[in-house]
This record gives sequence, C-alpha cells and structure tokens, in this order.
Amino acid sequence: MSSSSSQSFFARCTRSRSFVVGGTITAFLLLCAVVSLVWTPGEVYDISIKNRFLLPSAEHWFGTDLFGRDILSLLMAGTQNSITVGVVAVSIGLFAGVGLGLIASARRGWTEELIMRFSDFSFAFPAILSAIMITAILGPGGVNSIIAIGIYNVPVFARITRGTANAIWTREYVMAARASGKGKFRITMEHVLPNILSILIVQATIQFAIAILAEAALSYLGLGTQPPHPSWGRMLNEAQTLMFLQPMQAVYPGAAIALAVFGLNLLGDGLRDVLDPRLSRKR
Amino acid sequence: MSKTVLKVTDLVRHYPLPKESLFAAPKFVYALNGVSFEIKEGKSFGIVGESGCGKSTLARNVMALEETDSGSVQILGEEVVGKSFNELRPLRQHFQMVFQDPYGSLDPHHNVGRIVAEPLAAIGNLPKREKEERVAEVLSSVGLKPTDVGKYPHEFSGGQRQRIAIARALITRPELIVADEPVSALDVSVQAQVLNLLRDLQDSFGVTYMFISHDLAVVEYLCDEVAVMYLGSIVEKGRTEDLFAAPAHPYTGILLDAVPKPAAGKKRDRIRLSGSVTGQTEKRNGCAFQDRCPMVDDRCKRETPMLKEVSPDHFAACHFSKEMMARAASV
Amino acid sequence: MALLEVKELDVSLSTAMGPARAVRNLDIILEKGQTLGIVGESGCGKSMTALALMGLLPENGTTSGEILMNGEDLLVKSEKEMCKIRGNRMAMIFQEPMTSLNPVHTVGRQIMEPLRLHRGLSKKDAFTEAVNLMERVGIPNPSERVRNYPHQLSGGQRQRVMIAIALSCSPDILIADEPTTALDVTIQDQILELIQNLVKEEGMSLILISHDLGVIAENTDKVLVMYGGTVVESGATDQIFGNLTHPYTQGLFAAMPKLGMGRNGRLTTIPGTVPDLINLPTGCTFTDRCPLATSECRNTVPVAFSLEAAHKVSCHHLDQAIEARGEGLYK
Repeated sequence: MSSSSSQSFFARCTRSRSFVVGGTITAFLLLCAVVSLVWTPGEVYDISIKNRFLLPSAEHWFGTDLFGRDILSLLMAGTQNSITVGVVAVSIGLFAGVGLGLIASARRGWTEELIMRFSDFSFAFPAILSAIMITAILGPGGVNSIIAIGIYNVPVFARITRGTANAIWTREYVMAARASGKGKFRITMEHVLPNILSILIVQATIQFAIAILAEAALSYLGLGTQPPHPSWGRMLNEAQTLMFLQPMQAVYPGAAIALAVFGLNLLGDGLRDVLDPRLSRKR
Repeated sequence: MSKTVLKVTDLVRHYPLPKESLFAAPKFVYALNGVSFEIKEGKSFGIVGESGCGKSTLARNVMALEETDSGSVQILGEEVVGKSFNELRPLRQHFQMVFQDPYGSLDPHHNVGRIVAEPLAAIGNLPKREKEERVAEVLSSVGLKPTDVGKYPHEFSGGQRQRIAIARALITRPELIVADEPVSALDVSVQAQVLNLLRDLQDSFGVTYMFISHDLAVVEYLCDEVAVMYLGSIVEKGRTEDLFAAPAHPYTGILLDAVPKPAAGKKRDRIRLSGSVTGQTEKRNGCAFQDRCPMVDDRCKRETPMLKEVSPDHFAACHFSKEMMARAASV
Repeated sequence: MALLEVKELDVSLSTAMGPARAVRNLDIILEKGQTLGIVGESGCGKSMTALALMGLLPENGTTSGEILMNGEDLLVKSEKEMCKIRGNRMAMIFQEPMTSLNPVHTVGRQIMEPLRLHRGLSKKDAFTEAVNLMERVGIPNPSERVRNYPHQLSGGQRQRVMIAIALSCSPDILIADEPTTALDVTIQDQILELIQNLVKEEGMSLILISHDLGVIAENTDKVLVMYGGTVVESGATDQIFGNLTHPYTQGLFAAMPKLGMGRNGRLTTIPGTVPDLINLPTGCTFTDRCPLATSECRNTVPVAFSLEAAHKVSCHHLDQAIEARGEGLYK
C-alpha cells in the first residue's frame, strides 16, 4: 500500500481513458503550435491571389483560402494564438479569481459578501456580451480580447474557490492548525489551497476550452485577433461569406476548434479521475 | 496543594441563529450558560453529556478557537478570553487539542512529520535539527516509528492516526490537553490501546487532560473528576467514584442506567428517559431537565436549581439531590 | 424448517488490490421469533453479511453458498424477485437515519411508499396506515409529524421513522445494522426497547448487528462473534457471555471499559489492528494478534468445536483458551 502511491499515479493516468485521449489531443495541439514557430508547410503571411481556393493537393494538404494562403499552415499558426489566449486568459482568471475566492473564504463576513455579490453581478452578463463590452471600451485587438476573456474567468474561479475552500475550513485539521496558533494566511497556503488544487486544475482545463471558444467567437465578430495574424475564429469569419461557394473553407477551422475543445474537456474529465484519490480507489 | 492548570469561570456562549425574516427577533442557541470548573495539575477532568449539551462548544472555547460571549478561561493563570489571535499564539504551546475524527483531523496532503510538527509554529523558529529530534521523540512516545515521518495519513489505520494526532498535541510539551471524544470513532480493541496510551503519557509527562466523552465507562476509566452537562450547564460534578457510586442528579442516574452492560443479562429494571433534548433555543424558568425528569415537581418549574455542594467536593444542581443520594445509598 | 438458514456463505469484493474476502464460510440458523446478534469490529464482515442477506451487495460483490428463507434460496433469485422479498418479507434499518431517509420527501410519503408498493393500498388507506405506524413506533403527534421532512425530526425520531418503514409490510425478519450507534445512550435505550417490543408483538425474527457487546448482551437470544470475515464463536447469548472462550472474544470483552470497574485496573489490549481482508492468513484470521497462536494456526483453518449444546468455538488451542478464562490471556 505504501510503496504504491507514486507508481499508482501513472497507473491511474493510463487507466483513465478520457485522460489518455484528452491528453493526446492536447499534446498534439501543443506540438502543432511549437512546430509552427519554426516551420509551416506554406507561408502564413504570403498572399497570392492567383493561388486562391486551390483544392487539397500534395503541396497544400487542405488547399488554400481566398487569399491563396495554405490552410494547414494557417491552422497550425492559429494553434499558437489559441493556446496563448487560453493560457493568458486562464491565468488571469486563476490568479485573480482564486485569490479573491481564498480571501472571501478566509475572511468571511462582509468581505465575503462583497466579493460574492460582485461576482454575481459580473455573472449576470452573458460571457460574450461582457467580452464585447470590454473590447468595445478598450478597442478591438488580440491583447484586449485576451483581457476580456480573462476578466470573464475571474468570477468563475472566485466562486468555485470560495465554495470548495469553505468546505475545507470546516475540517478538523484546519481547526487543529488554528489550535497550533497558525494564522489564516498560513492555513490558507498550507491546508486550504493544496486541498482544493485538484478541483481548480480540472476547472482550469474547462475554462481553457471555453477561452479558445470565446476567442474564436470574438475574432469571428471582428473584435479579436486582427488581420493579418492567423486565428481560427478569423478564418471562420472569412469563410462565412463564402459559405455556399467554398463550404470546406469553414469546415477546417471549425473542426480545429471542436477538436481543441473536445480534447481539453476530456482532459479535464480525466484529471478529475486521476487527481481524486477517492474516485480512483473504487475502480 | 498542586497548582491549577485550567480555571473556567461562568463561561457563556450563545450562537445566533439565522433570522427567519428581517424583522424577526433574533434567536439564539444557548450552548453554554455559565459553566465553571477547575482542573488541577496532572489530573484528568471528564465532561460527559449527550449531543447538544454544549460539551464540544466548551472545548472550542477553552481552546480559544471561537469568540466567547462572557466569562473567563484561565490557563496557568493567564486569561485567554478577550485576547487576540496573535496575542494568544505564544500561549498556545501550553494547551493543545486532540480531535474526535482521526480521518478528518489530519490533512491528507501533509506527511506525518509535517503534521506532528505543526504546533511548533506557536513556539517560533526552532532549528531544523531540534524540530526533527522532537518529532522523532514524540512519535516513539506514542508507539509509532520515527521512520514514519515520510508517510501520509492514508497509510495508517484509525488507531494509528489517533496516535499521530496525540503526538501532534504532545510536541509542544503542553500542560493541558483538551481531548474531544478522542476514542469514540475507534474499534473496541483499538480504543483500549489509545486509552492506555493516554494514561501512560499522563504518568510519564504529568500532562493534564480535559476529556470530553459521551461514554461514561471510558470517563470512569480515565478521569479523576467528572462533570455532567445538560443543555449548556453543569448539572453535577465531583470525584468520579463518588459521582458514579451515588449520583445526586436524576440525569446522571439515568445516563448511568442507560449504558448497556455486557454481563447483566437481558432483564434490567430501570427508569427510561422519554423524549430527547429540547429547549436549546429558549430561555425559561426552572430546571433545564424538567421536561424529561422522572422526579419533576412544581418547584422545578419555578426555581432554577443552583449547583451546590451535596457532600465534600460533590456538587449537584437539583432540588432533590438529597433524595437521589439517599436512594443510591439504600440500594 | 428454520425461517432462515444460511449455509457456507462466502462474500467477496473485487478491488483494485485484489479480491477482499469479506465473509467466509458463514452458517446461520434463525428460527421464527428468535433474535440473533452479530458482534464484531469494523471490517469483520457483519455489515456485508446483512447486505448479502438483503441482496444489496455493492456491484463488485460476489456470493457463493446458500441463503434459504423458508427453504427458498435467495441467492438464485432475480433482482425482480428480490424486490418483492425486500421490504416485504425482510426489512432492514441502517445506522445513519439521516442519510437513509430522502430529505426532499415528507416522512409520511416515505412510510406510504412500501405500503402502496407491497400491500397495494390506496393513497388514502396508506396515509391512515402511515399515521398508525408512526403512533406504534412512539412518535408524538403522528397526524402532524406525518407531514414533516426528515430534517425537522430529531435523530431518535428519524430512527423511529426508519423502523416504521421497516415495519410497514410486517416482515418476517428485521435486520438492524448498528441501529443506535449514531444516537445518544438515552435515545439508544428507547430505540432498543422499541425494537424489542415490536419484535415480540409481531413475532418477527431479528438480526441485530452491533460493535457494542453491551447492546448485544441485553437484546439477543443467540450471538455470532465475527472476526476477519468468519465466525469465531457462536451460541446462546447467556452461554457466550457466561463463558467467553475464543481468545478474540476474551480479548474484546477485556478491552472494553465497563462501568464500575474503576480506575485501578488497567484495560487489556489486543495488540495490532484488524486484519486486511485482501491479505488474510491462510489459517485462523486471528493468528497475528493471538497470544496462543502457533504455526498450526497460521496454516490451517480451525473447525468449529462444540463446547456445550450450541456453543461453538473455532480455535486450535481450545483447552488453553478455556484455562485462560478469567485470569487474562493478554498479559
């Protein structure tokens, strides 16, 4: 029993099918992003009108778009963009939201009321609407859209952190730490945060998927990444006008978004199984 | 006369209930209604009572883990009530606590070494080597191996976990340990091991226990003195042998009778208590036990009985304590 | 023919670490109107036995052997047939009355459910019957209480509701798994008395499962003492408590603090902890903790030996165990 705790982590990872599939898809997307930094099959920024709407061939696997750019290259470079958006937006949400949630849970009283009412308030706006509002204030652009999505993530993490942290604060080991004279800050860092980390990680993967989707939506509306930088959402936007002439133009970026979201959700599901020792013991 | 380790005077704690509406009068749970007792050095003081009698609230207030409404708690002569959390920190090495649930009281993400060393935070910065030595020493005194420091709580059984919790309470070499139902979650054979361990530790370190339990047999085994609580008040207290031999409060008598006895056979005549604990949220005249008491009388409904000495060092809060004791003596 | 006859029952649970043998080679004979106690510590198989009888084992559980109720083998019945037997001919009450009642339905509705399902009563008749049942189990103001939700009742009253549900179809056998462990002693006393009276009035058979030797001694005719999934000692309650024989039974009794034993004696402890059901010794399960153990114990399973009448003990060193009675095996 004692020697198995480290090896069983990997055993648990491989036993969870959603972790394996989700992890593979996510790793594949990461690989695409990294490779695209140094090499893409075609030029991403090279416009050549005479090569527009080429059908898939040995040279252009997925064909070319209306400006004659290689679609596969655009998709690969778009991965970079999506991952950047996901990482930055989730980090903003994670740091600010978890911080606020932990403070609310440790302080209780009016601090908690204030933080939670504030997050209720921001929850009342639909995600995309608030992102549109923020980009409308700050102006459209890649960075601003990331900030907008990040801010939307803050109350999501604040709520989940406060809810799970409140449950930890009632545990006897927290009482024991208080009886040892430990202050609220130390208890938060030493007992509360480690015990809610697995839930936060799972939530982060889900928010990551939502961020990619939101960025695509903002770009589609013309509020996100600006041309000529490649983004899945913008590819969709450009393909939209050609829906009946060149339907395949929309399928590629659409499939890429779907694959990324699917992969990350599976990964989140899998992580839940892997990180929760209670669930894994029953299997 | 040995020194007093814990002196509790007139401790009151009322919890506000959530209001039913904005304009409703505030309601309270009267958890502690003026509790007083003191414990001498090296003694074990038991507190018994049913759930909702306020015994766990008393433990949390003695440990200064929540706000006290009024009254005083003195540990080694130092007042605890009214001090801020930071002011209390240096005092905390003198009083430590053992909790009921050996599964809930140890952080699953910390290893044994870290769990046991936690109360040393109150002492300040000890050198790493001294910390490790103390952990090893205290682990062996509770019957665990010093090499267990790297293991995690889930690798231990319930009894061993409770040993870890006791080691944690011992590491600051406290004068007082408050133990809230420390054996009630354990199997009988393991419970005996832990009870004997608590006794042995008292013999070797001279530590004083405030021992909370619902199990009268356990209290009899471990405690020199005992207080019986009902609805936030002490209804009887005294030396364990006196109190168990001649209970002066009907509630104590009924509690003692209600314990199933493994050797008694099936037929046992006794007074059974009807109903359950009620009245935690109301304040009224008379004895708190009036609804369930077999001896109840008009006087009990008018006058609240005070804790008074019925025989040397034996106190009871009942108008009929004389009759109770006479009955016990005649049997 | 006995009402219930269990022959060589084995229950095994598949886990990630391998099969856990929760119950092995268990025989029970229960006559109509008899009360049988099963006593043991956590992991001894007593709860798994109850679940196996009810056909409620978790999904990873497999059984072999026979459970004959009026000569019909319950183990070969389909889930649909078992549904007709459960609640109707065999009913069960659990330890935690809060979690075994559905918090979103009134208690009345929960008592009416089996009445309508098994006895096919109309809604109106079922309601009247539910009120009657609540009166029988001693809930005050049943016609009002019937509309309450579980959280509005006290722990003891919730357990009374559970008993009312169990009683609703006048089952032949009532299985009570630690019915009073979560309750205070005075409430435990009331609930056990209620169960006793109902069993007598209805002519039901009772299987009472508990870790508490006192509860078992006062409430049963026959006892099985279980350890590590097997029965180590069985017989009439008076026989067993009069002549504790198996080293485990002796140790368990000695380890239990008993009222009136004072503080001069010292509790006997059984060394070690309860066995891991996945890695059981091939022979006697008590080998690792037994003061009499020899290599024979480790390698061969002891057979049950009849001491007198129905008093059976499974031990290789019976003579030594009998000799050690009273003076204490565990020194």
